[in-house]
Amino acid sequence: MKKTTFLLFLFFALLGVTQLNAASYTLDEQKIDQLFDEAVETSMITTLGDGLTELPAGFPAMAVASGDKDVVVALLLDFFLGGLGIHRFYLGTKTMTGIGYILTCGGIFGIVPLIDFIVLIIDNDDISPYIDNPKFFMW
Amino acid sequence: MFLLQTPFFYMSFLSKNIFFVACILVCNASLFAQSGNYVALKQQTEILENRKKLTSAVDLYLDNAKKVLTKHYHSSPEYIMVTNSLGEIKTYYPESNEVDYRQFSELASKRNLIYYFVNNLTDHLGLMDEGFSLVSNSFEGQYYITQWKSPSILKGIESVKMVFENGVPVYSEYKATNSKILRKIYYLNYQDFIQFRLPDKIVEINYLPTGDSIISRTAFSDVEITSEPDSPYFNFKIPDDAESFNNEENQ
Repeated sequence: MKKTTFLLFLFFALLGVTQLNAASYTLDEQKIDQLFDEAVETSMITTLGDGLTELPAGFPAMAVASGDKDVVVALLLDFFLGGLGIHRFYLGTKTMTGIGYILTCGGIFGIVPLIDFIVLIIDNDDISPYIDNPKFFMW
Repeated sequence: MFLLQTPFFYMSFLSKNIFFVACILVCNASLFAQSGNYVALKQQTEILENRKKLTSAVDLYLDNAKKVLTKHYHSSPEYIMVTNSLGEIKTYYPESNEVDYRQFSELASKRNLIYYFVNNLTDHLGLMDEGFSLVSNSFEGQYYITQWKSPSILKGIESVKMVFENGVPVYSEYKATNSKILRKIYYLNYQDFIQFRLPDKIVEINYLPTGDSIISRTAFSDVEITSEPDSPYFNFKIPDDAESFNNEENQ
């Protein structure tokens, strides 16, 4: 009797876990639609975070700062969020460039951000060619 | 018996066979005519972060025989990116009449998501090409699950889980080395075409180290499959007088 109860318990526990997993494979589309509907359409990237101490924590993803660009900020952004093209937004570029990064799976899991990272290190004394560069490949 | 030996019998036998063969050839030809190697579609992507969204529109043109993918980005500046199977990339900016040449095998046309769907390579959707290896497979109810281990060069990603329903991927999950989920991708509302199946929507959730997330929603529409190129973008020619970035830099 105990064995049967245990087996039944095990069966329902497994069933429950399976159902829980299965639920995570589906998306609540209405919720996503609502999030997009409530969002404000923008073509501009807004403010940068509070500074280096905040990175990568508390950092808004789509950011372009006005004024001088810091190569260290760009490098950190590239390192942590390069796959989303955030460093390009920081350095100044067209919206589509960043979107292009995302559409290519972060420059194919980081090949383009990796090269961005290297050229930023090499040219750390003068990153002006990469500032406000509208091209997909900034180097 | 006499009839079997007459040329008339052999002719009728042969003509029957020829008739059947001709029927098969015609059927095949009509199937090929319906399929076509030229796939055009519109892609709209919305990216949501911190209650702000960005929308972009791209027209994609895939010459599946030559494995050439052309993307027309409707943006400012507008640009056209042509990629072949070797990863040779030509990016043309019509406003400034400038062209940029690059080569990255990782960005080759045959490593694009659309290419994988059009060629029914949905069992891995490019993971194999990125060096991922299949480590296990299992069933969970109606779902078929595959687990992929990342190559050692991808330090940030530990594993990828792919979930299939009715033979097509419906969900992917990327995990970091600390088992935290980096990315969830949902493939929604599959549409059936003659040669392939394509989700009309892909929702991707990227989890940031901050705890926030970036959601991207991509919708595919106006899918056209033709046997002949019906758009100049399939054989996009960059003007001869376009200035090269590299030449400009060298001057």
